[in-house]
Amino acid sequence: MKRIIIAGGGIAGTIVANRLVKALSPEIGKGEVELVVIDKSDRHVYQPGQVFVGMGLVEPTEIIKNERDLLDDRVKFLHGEKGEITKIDPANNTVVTADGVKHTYDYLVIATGSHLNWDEIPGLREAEYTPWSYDDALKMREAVQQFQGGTVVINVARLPHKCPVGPLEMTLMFEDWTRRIGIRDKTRIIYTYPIQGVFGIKSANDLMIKIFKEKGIEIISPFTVTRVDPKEKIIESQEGEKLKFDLLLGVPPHVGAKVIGDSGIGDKRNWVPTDKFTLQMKGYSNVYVIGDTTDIPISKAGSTADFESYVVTANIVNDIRGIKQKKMYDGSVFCYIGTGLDQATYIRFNYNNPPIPPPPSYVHWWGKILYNKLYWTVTAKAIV
Amino acid sequence: MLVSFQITKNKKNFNKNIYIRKIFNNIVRDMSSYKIQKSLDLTGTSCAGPIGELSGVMDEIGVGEAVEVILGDEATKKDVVAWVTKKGYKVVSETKEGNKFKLIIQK
Repeated sequence: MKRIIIAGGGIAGTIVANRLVKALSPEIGKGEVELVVIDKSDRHVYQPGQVFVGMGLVEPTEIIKNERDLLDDRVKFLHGEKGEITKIDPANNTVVTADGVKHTYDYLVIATGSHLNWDEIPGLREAEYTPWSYDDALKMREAVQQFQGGTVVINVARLPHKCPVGPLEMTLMFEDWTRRIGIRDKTRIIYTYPIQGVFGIKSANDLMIKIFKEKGIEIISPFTVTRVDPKEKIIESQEGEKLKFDLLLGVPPHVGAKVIGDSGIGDKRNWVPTDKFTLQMKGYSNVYVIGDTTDIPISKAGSTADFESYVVTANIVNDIRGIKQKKMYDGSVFCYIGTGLDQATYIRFNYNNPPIPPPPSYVHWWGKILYNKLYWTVTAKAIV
Repeated sequence: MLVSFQITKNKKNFNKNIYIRKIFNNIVRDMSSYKIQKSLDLTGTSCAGPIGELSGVMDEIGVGEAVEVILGDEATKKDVVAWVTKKGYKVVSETKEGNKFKLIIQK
């Protein structure tokens, strides 16, 4: 029997598990293939929904479900101590969990994701509200609801981070919210970004700068945060700026999972070296890397994981069936960008074709809402 | 360094001089103290953009260490070199392979 282990049950791990089980249905039926998802948590959070929670637009219960309910019944799911991965050993084809069990595999998909590294910036943890984790999104919701005007700084600490368009959305949704509750004239909004502009892709950067200017949002970039004084409410940058704020929203620095570092298989920020086309871990033909976990220069986003899941699935299936054909990831990404509380645009691109974002509209906003809602019944379950 | 070469307008000797220059650059590179920590293929589109991706890696490496980057066009190369200069880093090698540029950037 061939065993496929998927390390991580987030968006990437869940989609690829469900896609694999469908593609390998005949082999699984005959008992020739076994699929195992390993994750400490039995909760599944739809992370792109966290900004909606932080802004008080949806209830927290709408973005969280049981992982077991999302996985196909034919997928074995280990969680708790049995699912806490303590070591990944690709040289010996094993994954070790906290209960001391060594799980051997024929194929491994690493989907351990990206995580917040608050301690990298002194003072940040105490001062900043963020929707970049579920628990923090709940805290941000309270802070936003209590806000009555003043200076809001929105900071992106380091690149890359999960959901690259997220800070743009958060800024524009927040700005619209202040208008709707009648405090826009009492609110100064400053967006700070570690490189010149507000976003890394020129076409989207140009559009967003235009929208920011129209809405009176100030931009300070490059702004590489070095420390935050939570008592005085001052954020400082490597470039010498000091900004006083009443409310600090932002994106903390991101790193790959601790187990990647502990296993010695990642780079200095625990991203796993990955072939940008085959999605194989460099140096290991039976190990694939998916979603935020990779070191490839592409967006760390749910849609990226979804596009990648087709490639990983095809390559594992072909290998199991003895077909010497490799599917290549073309760098596809699709992200809606909310530009207010009822307007959105989107970017759709790949390695070779930059995006051309359309003008913001109500139609794209509803596309975004629909995409979020369909996640549970279509995307996570790999229906298409 | 004992290796030397002369710039000449003599077409016959031109390729030889380029060849010697490449050897010279390679020797200098080999003898220098930096270590290439990571190779980054920045020829494709990504949300952080080439400078965003590069900035993330430069943040993580130590002083004296280096990163190799592959860039897909002249305009991006100019932007990256300008950013490197502004940040106080150093381009220690620059080569062109087909339409792509390869830079080695030291922190």
